[in-house]
Amino acid sequence: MTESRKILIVEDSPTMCGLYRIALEPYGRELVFASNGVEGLDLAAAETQLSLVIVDINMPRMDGIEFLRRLRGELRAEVPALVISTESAEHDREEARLAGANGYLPKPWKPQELLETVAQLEAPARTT
Amino acid sequence: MPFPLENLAMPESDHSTELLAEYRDEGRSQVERLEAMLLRVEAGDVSREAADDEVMRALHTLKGNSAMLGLEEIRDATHALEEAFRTPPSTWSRERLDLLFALAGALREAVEAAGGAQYSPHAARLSQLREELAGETVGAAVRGAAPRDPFPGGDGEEPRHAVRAEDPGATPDALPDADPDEVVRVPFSRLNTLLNLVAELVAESSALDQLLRSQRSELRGLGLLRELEQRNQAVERLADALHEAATELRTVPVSRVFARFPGLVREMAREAGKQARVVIEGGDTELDKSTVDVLSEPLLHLVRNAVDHGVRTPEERRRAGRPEEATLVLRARRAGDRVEVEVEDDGPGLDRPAILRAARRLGLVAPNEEPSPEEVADLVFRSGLSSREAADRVSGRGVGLDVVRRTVARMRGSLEVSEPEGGGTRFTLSLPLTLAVLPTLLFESEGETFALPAGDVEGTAAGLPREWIGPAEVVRHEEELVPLARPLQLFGMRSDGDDAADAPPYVVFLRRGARQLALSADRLVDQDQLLVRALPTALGQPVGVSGITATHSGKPVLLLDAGGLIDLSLDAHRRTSSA
Repeated sequence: MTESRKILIVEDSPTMCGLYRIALEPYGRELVFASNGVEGLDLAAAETQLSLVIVDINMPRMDGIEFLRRLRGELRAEVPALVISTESAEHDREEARLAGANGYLPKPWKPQELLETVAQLEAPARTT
Repeated sequence: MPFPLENLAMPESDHSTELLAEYRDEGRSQVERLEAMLLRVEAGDVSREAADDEVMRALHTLKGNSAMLGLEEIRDATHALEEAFRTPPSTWSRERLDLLFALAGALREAVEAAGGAQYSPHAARLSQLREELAGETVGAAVRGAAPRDPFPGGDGEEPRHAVRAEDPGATPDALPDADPDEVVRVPFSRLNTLLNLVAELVAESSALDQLLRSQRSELRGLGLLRELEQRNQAVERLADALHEAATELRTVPVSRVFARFPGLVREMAREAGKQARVVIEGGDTELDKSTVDVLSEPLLHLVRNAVDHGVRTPEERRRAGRPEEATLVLRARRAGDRVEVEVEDDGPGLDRPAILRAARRLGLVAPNEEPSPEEVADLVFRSGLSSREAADRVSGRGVGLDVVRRTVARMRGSLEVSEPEGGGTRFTLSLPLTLAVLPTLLFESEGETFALPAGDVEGTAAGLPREWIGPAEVVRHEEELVPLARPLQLFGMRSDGDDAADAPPYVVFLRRGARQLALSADRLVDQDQLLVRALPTALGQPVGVSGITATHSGKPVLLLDAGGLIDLSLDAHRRTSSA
């Protein structure tokens, strides 16, 4: 029995992508990266086995909120989503919630915090 | 240690090394976006909408990344920049642009140093500039509310900022503003008011001194002379000390002006198919804000000129046995009551034969004239010679060195060219430390009173015999023949020949480089500390005049500029010889 815990990360900063790798890969998560919202929607459509989507609010072309709205509206109503933002702003949190986010984590997050939040939000692992 | 490896709980240090490399790469391009935007603003391409989404996003990402890696100074600086751009000013003042360029430069340095031993000093510098920016934003109504730099980065002296940044009590989300006991923010305008008042006081105290001296015998008769003189001397000393202290209040490090050049030079050189880097020396030299503000423009032209002419293509440099990347040194140092700023390249130096050929072609040098090497070098400042060559792609604006020298002269500065020992070309800009009160020599010539900065005067002499060389008047001074000029004639206010028959009772000697000039004077009035103001704009910017001052009786007097007068006399001489 292999657990498939594949997380889609929509994030344009290579540094941040590196940090997600360091924080999550050792704990059995497989990461797929998209560098903007448009790419993120394509990947979300292609990857059927996602346990979670992590999206940064601040992105080129399509920001995280817009990505989330379209993800919810056009593609996947069920996949849990975690929104990451640079500031812990109440309006960001509220906007994220309204767009369909299940969780919100401001930067700087600590690896342990991220891991805990991810574990809480993740859809039950499917067995293949 | 800013990088919270322990947070990441990763045993392998490769990861952190890789991550930092990634961060630096990303950060570099983010800062480049910021710099490109500032350059666009400076060129006048954009105004209010300067900080487009792309720049804002770059700043925001850099802020997030820096927060993740615990680089708090970078996080705070990018945050301050975001805030500053969110409410753009209606105009981008020179001061503000300089500060933003400086911030961008410091940001670049800090990003490059992230994770290394050099991070701490760069971070401290960054925080200092961030506070200056915060000061400006808060006092938005006050143009350039820059506080006195409270942490001059002397050698070996740990900036106090670094201590504060590592203060465990400082929470990441709300770094406290400067401790009110340590730093007081004062709008620049108030400092200016203070300084102007002090300058008036200095001027008044020397007026009093003059009055005492003119009434000596009466006062002695009243038995008051000795005490009045002593008291007045004490007041004068205090006024001088107060002036010095007030001037120091608004000093800023010259690195404020220098910081933008590393990025700028790399960009300008790349555009011309060249490679160049900037080395900054003496960036912590403290200058009066007024001097720093006027330094930016001439410095930019000198740097452009150096990239155009001093920096050669990589192939040319390779053939000359030099590294492909050229080095441009920006250097500042205090020299008495002046500051010297140098722009030095490591190129092939001055091409004297070519300069001389061009000068002869333009009629600046007569066919039979054989100028000395110093005189040939000085020709690069003559009108028509430099601007023509410089008006290529990089220089664009086509501002010649003649214009730069005139601009500098109006600030009572000088600009010289020389060649350093290791080769290359060096431009030395010398400016007064402060631009308010100046020791001056007052003299009368043909019924008019003029002032000259005491520093421009090489000496005075009385009753020198006057001689003629062809149509030109000269005086003999220490075995040398020095051209004699009458101020009103130089300014074209009196035609040649009028009143020129008599030898003047006095002459005032001026010098710039190898050139000397004797000005005729009927009377030497006084040598004094005078308050100097800029010439009213309605008067234009006549050559040979650098400002306006007033005698103690309140009569306005033109402040002359030695360099400009020498230029005028050379021109007059050329006209006479060709006539």
